[in-house]
Amino acid sequence: MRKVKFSYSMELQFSQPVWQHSFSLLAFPLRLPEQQIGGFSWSLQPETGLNFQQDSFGNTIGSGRFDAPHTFFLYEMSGVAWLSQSRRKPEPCLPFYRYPSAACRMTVPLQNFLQQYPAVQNGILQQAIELMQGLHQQFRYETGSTSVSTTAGDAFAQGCGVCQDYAQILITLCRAQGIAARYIAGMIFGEGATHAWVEVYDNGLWHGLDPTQNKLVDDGYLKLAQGRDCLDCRLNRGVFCGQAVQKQRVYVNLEEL
Amino acid sequence: MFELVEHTAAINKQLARYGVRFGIYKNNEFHEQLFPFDTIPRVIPADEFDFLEKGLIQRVNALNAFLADIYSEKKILKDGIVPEEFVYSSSGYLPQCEGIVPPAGIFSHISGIDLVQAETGEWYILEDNLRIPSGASYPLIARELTRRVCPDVFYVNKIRDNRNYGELLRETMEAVNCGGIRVILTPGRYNAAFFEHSYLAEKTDSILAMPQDLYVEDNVVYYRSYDGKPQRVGVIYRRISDEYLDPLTFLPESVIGVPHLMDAYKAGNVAIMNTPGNGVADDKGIYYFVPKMIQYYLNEEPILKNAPTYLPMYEEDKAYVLENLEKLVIKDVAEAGGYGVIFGRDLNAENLQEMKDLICREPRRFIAQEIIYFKDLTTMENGAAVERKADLRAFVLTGKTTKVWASGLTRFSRNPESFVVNSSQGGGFKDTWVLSR
Repeated sequence: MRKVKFSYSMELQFSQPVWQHSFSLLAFPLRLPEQQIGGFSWSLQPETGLNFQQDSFGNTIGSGRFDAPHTFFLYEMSGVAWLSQSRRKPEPCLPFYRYPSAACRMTVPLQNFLQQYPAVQNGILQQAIELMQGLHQQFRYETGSTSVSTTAGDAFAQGCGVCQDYAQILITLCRAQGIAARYIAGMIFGEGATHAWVEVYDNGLWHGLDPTQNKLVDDGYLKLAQGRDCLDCRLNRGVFCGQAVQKQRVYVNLEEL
Repeated sequence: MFELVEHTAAINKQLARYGVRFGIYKNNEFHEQLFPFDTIPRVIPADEFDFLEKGLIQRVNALNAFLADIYSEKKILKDGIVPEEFVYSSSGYLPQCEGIVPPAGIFSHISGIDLVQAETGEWYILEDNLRIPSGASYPLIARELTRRVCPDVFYVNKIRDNRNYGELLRETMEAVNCGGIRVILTPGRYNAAFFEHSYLAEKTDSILAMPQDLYVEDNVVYYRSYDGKPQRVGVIYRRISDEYLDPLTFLPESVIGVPHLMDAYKAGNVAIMNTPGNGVADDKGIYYFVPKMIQYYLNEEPILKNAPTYLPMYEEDKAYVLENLEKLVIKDVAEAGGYGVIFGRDLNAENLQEMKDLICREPRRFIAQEIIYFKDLTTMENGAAVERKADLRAFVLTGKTTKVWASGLTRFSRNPESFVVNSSQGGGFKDTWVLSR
């Protein structure tokens, strides 16, 4: 078990004032047996309240609205977490995690790649690990080479991408072999950007795999959101009126206590 | 009833004045066309309608039970009655709606069930429309205009009045109203069925709202009226597709949605008619399983028959389809509005082989059906009576109970060769008379 301190901030700068800004935030740490949260707090600028709900994927969504014209929006949160993979508890799996989703659809190159890996032989988790290792060898990390709307197929075809692409490709490969897989958005040790990884469902438990780093998830990972692919895990969603160009800055930090 | 024929031009002129039109997008351009009305009605005898009514109520009740099950316990999947992949590969299934129980537990409030009558006189269900079935307004206004020009016909013939649709719809809306005004939400005047949206708002005494007229605050939906005073909305009969309803839950690029509408809905503060996610039950593949749903949920034998249907994903069915493709009709499960319907007999040898290869490659994408030889209906064309193919869309409304509107939209094909009657393919319509005895 590890005790960690986490913080997240997301800042939006608008080139022109915007108004009637409706937003949904998903950047709240999931409360799970393996991820106990303490001393949690959040704040918004401009100051406004949030309504909390759970979505179908198990995430907490904070919804709010800011009507008056503004050029700046800031969400911050922080807290302490006790992380322990050994405390995971069996849970049911919704069947849609075994089926393709918008960003995770099979393509011919992915199909060809998968042919090197005959269907599940040594158990689900082992199969997923082999797929992860194979992907890691073939795929290259390159900052800025993809965008939030890049699908698994597009990223695989160009041969490089970021953590989101590693995760979505591995999810697509797993599902094609009948393995339930989901996308996780969260944080790892250090400061900088958010991270993304994969969980596969085996024998009642979700097991975390980090294809970007080619390793199993340990007690250094904090989960913020889960879903079928990165579209379900968009941590900040918003619509507003006004012809502004927006600049987003995200800063996260996770450190051991 | 043939005395109505001489009034055809007058009634059609009135319909045009009222704006009874159909909008069609072709090559990215919006075209509006009139929806030609033929005055010779389809006539359904009382006993035949009683039979249809029983069958339709049974079917819609089973479909509602299916939707409630799929978004909660999924018993029908666990019991192996419906293969799981049919649900989760369907574009109409929305994971975002998992676990949501709609007000009064009703999913399909307004169901448009398409039927055809075969030459033998037997009725078959062609498809279920549980998302936003349109068309009730056309026979409704046509009846009103016809009564005006020819009132005698309605004294002489014992015809059930169909002008109660507005009242039925209003009752249906009130059955799920979460406290507030009734709203019909339209994407705007460039929608194919805008006439219907405005007409039904008038008939149900509801507010016709555009997306920008509604907003959500603290999980409550408000209507922004002209005097600036917000009015709380209790029920929304929306005529906007699921994926555009709320940009924060579904397609982020939607500009015709209401941000946070799904939050208000989940919180139980507003009813959305029909419930988002219904598309999973009116998928052309799921259709095959509706008779099984009736047995499974209601423990009854289906009263109305499906057209004989084959699913190429089952080996046995695939063999039959490949063997008999020339005499079958093939439908692409993802298409609607009469698109993606292919008659095997229209294909040449090369295209037939291509189709077979496609079915083998993507068996889940298609269903195949026996062609039903429709009973033709008499229709006037350039002053002459001709026989044309027609179908019937019955409107089934579920509020406190499930009721069938004693009328319906009869669409006919203006092309004597065509079996496709969809309005978007240039067909016309008739009134549907249900006799009272």
